[in-house]
Amino acid sequence: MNLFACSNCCYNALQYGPLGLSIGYCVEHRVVLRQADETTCPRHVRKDLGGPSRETAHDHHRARYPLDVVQSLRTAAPATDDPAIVDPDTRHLEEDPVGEAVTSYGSLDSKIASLAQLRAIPGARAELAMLSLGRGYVRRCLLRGGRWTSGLHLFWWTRKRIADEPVIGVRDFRHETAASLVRQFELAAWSIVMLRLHLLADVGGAAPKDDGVSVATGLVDDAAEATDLPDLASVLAWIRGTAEPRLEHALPRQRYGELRDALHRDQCDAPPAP
Amino acid sequence: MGSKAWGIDDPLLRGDDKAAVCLPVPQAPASIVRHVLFLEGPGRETPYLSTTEDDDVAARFAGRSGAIWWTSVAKVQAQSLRYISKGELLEVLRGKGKGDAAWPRASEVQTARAYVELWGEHLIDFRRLQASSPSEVGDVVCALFLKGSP
Repeated sequence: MNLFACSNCCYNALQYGPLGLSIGYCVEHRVVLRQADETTCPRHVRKDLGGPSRETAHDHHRARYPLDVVQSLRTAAPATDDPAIVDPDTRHLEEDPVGEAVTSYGSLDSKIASLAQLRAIPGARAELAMLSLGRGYVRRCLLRGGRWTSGLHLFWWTRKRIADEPVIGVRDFRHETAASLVRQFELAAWSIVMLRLHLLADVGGAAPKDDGVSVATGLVDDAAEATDLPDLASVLAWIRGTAEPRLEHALPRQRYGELRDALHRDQCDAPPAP
Repeated sequence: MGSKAWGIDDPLLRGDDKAAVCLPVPQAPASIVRHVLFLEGPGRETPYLSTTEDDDVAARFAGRSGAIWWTSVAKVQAQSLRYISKGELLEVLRGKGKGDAAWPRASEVQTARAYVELWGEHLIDFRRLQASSPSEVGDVVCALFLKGSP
């Protein structure tokens, strides 16, 4: 609910607005978040904003909450010793397929392996988790000097489902809102579609200007300008008519295959980690 | 979930600190998008106070350590402050926004609009108090809000 709470952070992939489980999980601090609307930390990266505004918000936030622990959003008091707020025990989350994939993020062979696992799970919560962690993953790769191709697979997977209507069930909601139930469903689906566009824009924004993939940089605002209001049918129609052809031109299957093979060769040729 | 339509005589609720409602800064930037999206973080200076028509939303913003406060459109108008209804917000939050909701990024206007819908948000505009001291602003806020359920 609060936009600077853990519930709106990329590193808590289990919640977004009213969507998600009643408890969250932080892949940075590796704890279950039992009050994710009331906690935060300086690593917070907003899910709901595009790159420039997200980074401005992150800088303000880090200055206000310098202590690197999960803490009260209101008082900044550390919450690490309060099991009613954070809990390292993930057993209950692991009973949920999405929860299991999220809690194993960073402990499998690679983070991309975890993201691929989420991609294969049907439903909006799994997609939310993939997009949320994916945005955090790409952001960090780029901050460490990585190229846009660090998000190649995420870009491709998202591109392939960009025009699909998110599948949201009544159990996917963690709380009620002031909107009607019909509108709440629509806004939740719309927010997932916009999250897809944000991820594509994150990756496209890191590509050189002369690379076709950079066309994705403006997708979020282009979609919003074309649709005027948060309207699921309108944005999906715009995506099918305008964004999909742009993205097909930017990253056709053959180019994806070539880049994927090149990435694989780089990894195989890389010296072993010390 | 919107079980009963809010009416102009119904209370406007706010989840906030237990001790007091946070103070607006009448001289702060007037952008509605900046305000709704908290673009400068929690504690950013804003000439607006957000309220909601929904008690569940207010409870969520209050959290376990906060409290629900309430006021009404009549009380806002009795203080000669501007009341910006949810309907008015929805009217200006479209495209790249209109009036005080004008904003360079249409996507952020849309996101703000979605939050206004989900939160049942109404604003109180304190810009009329631009010449007032913080303590005078505090007095007005104290006169407006009561703690607890209406």
